[in-house]
Amino acid sequence: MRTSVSLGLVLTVCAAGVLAAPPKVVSERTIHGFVNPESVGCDPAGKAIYVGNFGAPKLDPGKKEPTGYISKLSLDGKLLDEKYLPAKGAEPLHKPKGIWIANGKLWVTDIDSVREFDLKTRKDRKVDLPGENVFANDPAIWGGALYVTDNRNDLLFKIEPADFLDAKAAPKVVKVLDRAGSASIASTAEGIRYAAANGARVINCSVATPDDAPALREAIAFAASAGALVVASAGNEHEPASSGRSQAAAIAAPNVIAVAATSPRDGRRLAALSNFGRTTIGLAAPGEGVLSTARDGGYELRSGTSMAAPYVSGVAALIVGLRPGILGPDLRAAILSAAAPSTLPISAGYLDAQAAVRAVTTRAVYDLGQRPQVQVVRADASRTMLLLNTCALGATAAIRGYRIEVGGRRVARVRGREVLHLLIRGVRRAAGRRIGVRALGASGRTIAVGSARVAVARETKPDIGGAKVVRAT
Amino acid sequence: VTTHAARRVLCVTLAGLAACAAAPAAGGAQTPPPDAISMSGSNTVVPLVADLVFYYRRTLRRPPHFTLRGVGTPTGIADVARGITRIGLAARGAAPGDPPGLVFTPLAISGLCLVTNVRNPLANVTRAEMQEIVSGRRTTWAGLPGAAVDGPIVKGGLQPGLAGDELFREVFLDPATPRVDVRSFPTFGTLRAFLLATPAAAGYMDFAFLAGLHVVPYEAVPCTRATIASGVYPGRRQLSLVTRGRPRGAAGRFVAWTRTSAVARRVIATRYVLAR
Repeated sequence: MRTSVSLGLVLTVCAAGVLAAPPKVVSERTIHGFVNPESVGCDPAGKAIYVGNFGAPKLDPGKKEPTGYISKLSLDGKLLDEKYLPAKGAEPLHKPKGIWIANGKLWVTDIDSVREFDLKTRKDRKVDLPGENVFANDPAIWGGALYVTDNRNDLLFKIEPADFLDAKAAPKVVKVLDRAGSASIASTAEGIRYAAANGARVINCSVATPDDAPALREAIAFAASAGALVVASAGNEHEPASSGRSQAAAIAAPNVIAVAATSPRDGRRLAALSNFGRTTIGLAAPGEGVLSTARDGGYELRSGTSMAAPYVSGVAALIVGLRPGILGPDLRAAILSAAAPSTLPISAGYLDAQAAVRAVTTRAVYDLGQRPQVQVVRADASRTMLLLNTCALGATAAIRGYRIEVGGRRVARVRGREVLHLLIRGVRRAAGRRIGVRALGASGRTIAVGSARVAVARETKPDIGGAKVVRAT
Repeated sequence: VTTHAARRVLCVTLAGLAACAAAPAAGGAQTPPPDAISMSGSNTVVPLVADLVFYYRRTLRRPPHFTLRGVGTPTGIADVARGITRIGLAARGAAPGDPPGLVFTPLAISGLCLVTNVRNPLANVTRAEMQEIVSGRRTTWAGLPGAAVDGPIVKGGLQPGLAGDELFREVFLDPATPRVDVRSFPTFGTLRAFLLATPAAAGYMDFAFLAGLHVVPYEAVPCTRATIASGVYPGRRQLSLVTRGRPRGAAGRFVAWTRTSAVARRVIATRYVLAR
């Protein structure tokens, strides 16, 4: 179904933004070539108008369908490119509900996310909005922040920075040393606290203390509560890191990664100076002959685990740039689980930047990277009701609901992707027959099926726990 | 505190992600409550335990909170040994090099099955053929029983050193067999995606992740629940919950539940063979 919009209306919106002129219809010409156009924005600098299309012939604003696109028009109403955005090969757009254009960038709400496009290069980036059942409506930018309404949950999201397309890690230095190069435990701990409190997501820390340091432990716990990861160098004594020194590395916390150094000869041996530990040290990274900045303003080759830790911090920062919402313990898990196994006396292995980044970008971990599967854990029937337990595995995010069949006939249909725990009333003579549980995707098609034979309920009053009660259809 | 400039650099450098710090999903501090039962370890065991946790929480009026992270078996064991987590998830049983004082509670018995793409339903593979394939002496599918694709054999496996790859090496390979041109992957999930997408691929897979793949009998022994349970199939391994000392408190109750509850046994049995 092709629809049209009035050029007069489009130009009025544009003119209002550019000239602050009173609304005036300048043309009654009608432009064709849209499919359920929903939103429009104008780019005075680029002299173009952008129209968001749902793309699907049926108008269903809440349904996720990869049919959306944004058309580009000239200011005089000529259709320049029907499907200008997203670029070919980019992640598809679903329902471009609202558009905001500023500084050569276009922001568009897309049900449960916001996409930012560079209008010149067509490069884009997405930020998922937190929460369940989100329905993003309109975006607006003010003071460096992007505001998005959610008219299903009655919320207003604030996203900072608004221009997140090219957001990169910005290193900051918190000075904890005095002029002689010494520091107290208190000042180091305070530095970690300050960094975490001021939004640091990754804290690279090379400290060596001869005593147990409760203040340091507390500071790391504080960083954990702020979602920050602490990357600590293992220390340069060539001894087990749990020997009492190198406290930051030895501190047992879910948001700490301790890093040993490898030798540059083959990049696979432990450096002669590096501390180690099968339980204390997670990773190894290059730490001998590393080109580093010098105090005199130039560069010099330095060795030590202090040189190795920043490699891990850099990879962590890369991941945070890709997954801004990731928290310290999850960031640690992502990096450690992607490490290349080694025979060194450390726990996880060598830092593998590519595998770590791939793991978070392609969501290659089991539960998200697998095809959805449905397994029937329990199906018991009495004379008139059926108690059903299932588990859904794999990419369950694609599941939108379930259809339950007994002996090939539909008995119930439920929405949601949660694991099913149902008591279906009104099902007769189900015992002994085959039950099928079909997981349905957004389009209503079956994407996974689980089946089992229905057993006879042994108890007259079965424990239904928190089962959802539905009536057979 | 003293420093030795040449050996230790004492500084705190912040990779503060100003651009991302206040992104919406960051949402500020989100830490589990102090009484949470934290678990970390094998990426293979994580999905099974996630389901068990789901059902366990439904059995209690005030269920404890759980945190679950896939970091690999070695780090999972290291985390529980250091007290970072309450329970470690291991895709193996106890081994001589493990830290002292750890208790491995069997959760399930899994199998490591040999697989090909469904378009290439290989009928069987012998130990001798396996050595030839892995070492590169046999490079094409020609002559193998049931092979339906032509051309080179594309080999895939886990990264060397991971528990699954170690088991494959121990069970299916001779000590002298070199591995030539084997593409390695960090998890069974990524390996499975590769095997599904590559018609000429051959590899191995955990028993729970076989959907969509053709399972190849080894020395005429199929990789099935029955052969794994009976021990006839050689590539079997234990999945374990690891605790520091005997499991106690809330974590102990969960571990005991996985061993005794009928629901837990059913959940485990949907994927694996029950451990005795």
